[in-house]
Amino acid sequence: MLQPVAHRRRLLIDRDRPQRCETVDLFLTIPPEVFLLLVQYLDLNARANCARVSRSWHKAFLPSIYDHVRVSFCDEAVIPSHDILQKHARLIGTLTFENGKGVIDSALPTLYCPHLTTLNIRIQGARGMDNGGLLLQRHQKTVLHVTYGRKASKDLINTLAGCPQLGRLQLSLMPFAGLKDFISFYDQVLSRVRVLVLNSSLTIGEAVEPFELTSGPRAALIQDLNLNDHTYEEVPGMRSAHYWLLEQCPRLVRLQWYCSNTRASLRPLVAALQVANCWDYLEVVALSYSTIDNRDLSNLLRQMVRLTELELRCRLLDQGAWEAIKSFPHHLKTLRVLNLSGCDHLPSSAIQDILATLWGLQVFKANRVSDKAIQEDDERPWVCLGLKELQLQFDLFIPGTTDKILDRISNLMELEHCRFEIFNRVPRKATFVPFSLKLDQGMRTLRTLRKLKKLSVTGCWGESEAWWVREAWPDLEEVWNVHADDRAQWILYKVNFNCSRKR
Amino acid sequence: MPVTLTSLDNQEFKVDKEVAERSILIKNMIEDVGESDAPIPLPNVSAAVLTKVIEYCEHHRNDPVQVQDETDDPRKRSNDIEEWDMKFMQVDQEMLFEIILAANYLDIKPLLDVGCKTVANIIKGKTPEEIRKAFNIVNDFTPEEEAQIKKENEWAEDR
Repeated sequence: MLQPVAHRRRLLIDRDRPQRCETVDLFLTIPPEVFLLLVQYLDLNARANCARVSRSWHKAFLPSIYDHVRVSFCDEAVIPSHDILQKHARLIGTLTFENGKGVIDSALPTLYCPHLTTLNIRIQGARGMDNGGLLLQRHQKTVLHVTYGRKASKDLINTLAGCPQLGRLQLSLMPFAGLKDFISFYDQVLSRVRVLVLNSSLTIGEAVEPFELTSGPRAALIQDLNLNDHTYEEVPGMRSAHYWLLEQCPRLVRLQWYCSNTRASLRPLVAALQVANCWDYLEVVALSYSTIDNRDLSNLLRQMVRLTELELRCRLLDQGAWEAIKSFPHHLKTLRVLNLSGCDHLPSSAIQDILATLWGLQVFKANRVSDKAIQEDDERPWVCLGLKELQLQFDLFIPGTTDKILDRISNLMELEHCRFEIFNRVPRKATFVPFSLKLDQGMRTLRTLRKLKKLSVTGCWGESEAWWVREAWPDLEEVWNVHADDRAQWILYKVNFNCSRKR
Repeated sequence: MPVTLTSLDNQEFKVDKEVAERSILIKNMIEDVGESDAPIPLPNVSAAVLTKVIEYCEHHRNDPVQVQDETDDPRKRSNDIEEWDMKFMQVDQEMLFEIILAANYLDIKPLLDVGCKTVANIIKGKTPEEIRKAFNIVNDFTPEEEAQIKKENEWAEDR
């Protein structure tokens, strides 16, 4: 207990004293690290107002205004002029161009920011011209991260090749003029970055099957590879370029691989990873294919001894896929994130089995589960009690199982993000009606979810629900799909309500 | 086991170890020194401020340890202060800033956050003149400078 041995309130300022005598600026007393923390709680507008307060405040707040400059070409009024940016160029660390169709190089013809590390260009521009290419050229020495949202031309690629410190690169590529062209881009740029996001396919422009290389392996530094292959048709040399790139990544930790081609299989990917021999590093894998063969999946999982996060998107994934995961006990211990929400046909029994087996899970997302599977497996409780995020739809065929489902969810006491929907089947009809979360309909069961921050559920909340929520879920920040009346929103003033459906 | 803390003005405070250990600085000190009856000197904190800080730590003695949120969200929320904390922070500005300094020195992250949020909330939605009034600051710009700075930062306003 607090026992002030001798305690007397120290009077530092006399509150009756007239204002303006106090000339000490309290802001100047706080150390820089605390000032930086404080600034994070202020939006750009508030920072700009602060900079107009006094000379010392101007000096203190200016860096927080110009550290990251976002230029949106949608609204002329909020584009800072070239002169203003040039004046404060020393403060600019990140430049982001987004929205609209501005032409960066003519708007900012000579801007040079000596400390620029990040350049994000997410806008369109005139055809055939690199929008912002000259800007990038002036900052080759300092940039670490580059995002380029439109197709990168040969000139831009050459500019990228001249950036000695480039570590993170996100771009779409024009087709290469043949294999030689691609290899030189790989050697000069791709192999040197640690994070690579490709929003288009690597198209070589000539048929090279199998990939012919004159010299041996060329190890890349890539740790995080995200490839989005949007082509539906086979382009000569394209896929071999993808897998060749993968083969050069011995230090891969995260792999995201999205493949739109309906005939593509997982097999070449597994083979390429085998060549890369990155098994000792690979921890996070997200794959999107229209079909995944269970044997290929099994071959992949067998090798990944350090897998902690797995996301699969595949319409036709079945029970066998879960069996494949389950057959390697080490995954059952280490798997933290399992996202199967892109798998429409995963059977309910598999989902119930996952929830009753993977005790280390922190995030689980899946599409739908029926109450039959849970009912049939009634003896086995859900064991993933450390679950922080759950996304699942429950289809209830058997009348009166809603309480059982809510009871199961209520055991997941660590839940912070919870997105669930319950649909009850209308007897003798093929239709389902959404269950609405209300106080008189089992809501009280969920009182145990004390850590809830984000909730998505159908519901209709009035004053009594609002008071209950305030008491039961003190950390709640965001709610989706619940229609809350004005009174309820007033009571839950800290909560953001996002409701698409008006009732 | 109680711990004795000595303030800048040599006043002694006896508090429970678990309350004192809300401060990472004190926690580390106790770990380094081991069990000891010797008072812990806090030469940067006055008795008045220490009283407030202890009041905060008493109230939050059972809070779980905060997990560092490294999401790197550049814009943090400041409208999520608990009711008790909000009342606790209703002090004069000198005290508010001293609490922030003490929280920083004693390494009490949640208290530091609440303090910064409180200051941010005072600033938010105010014009420069209103901010000057709120913090008792004299406008030392010449009219020309003021006009120029307003023009320069126009792009950042109303965003």
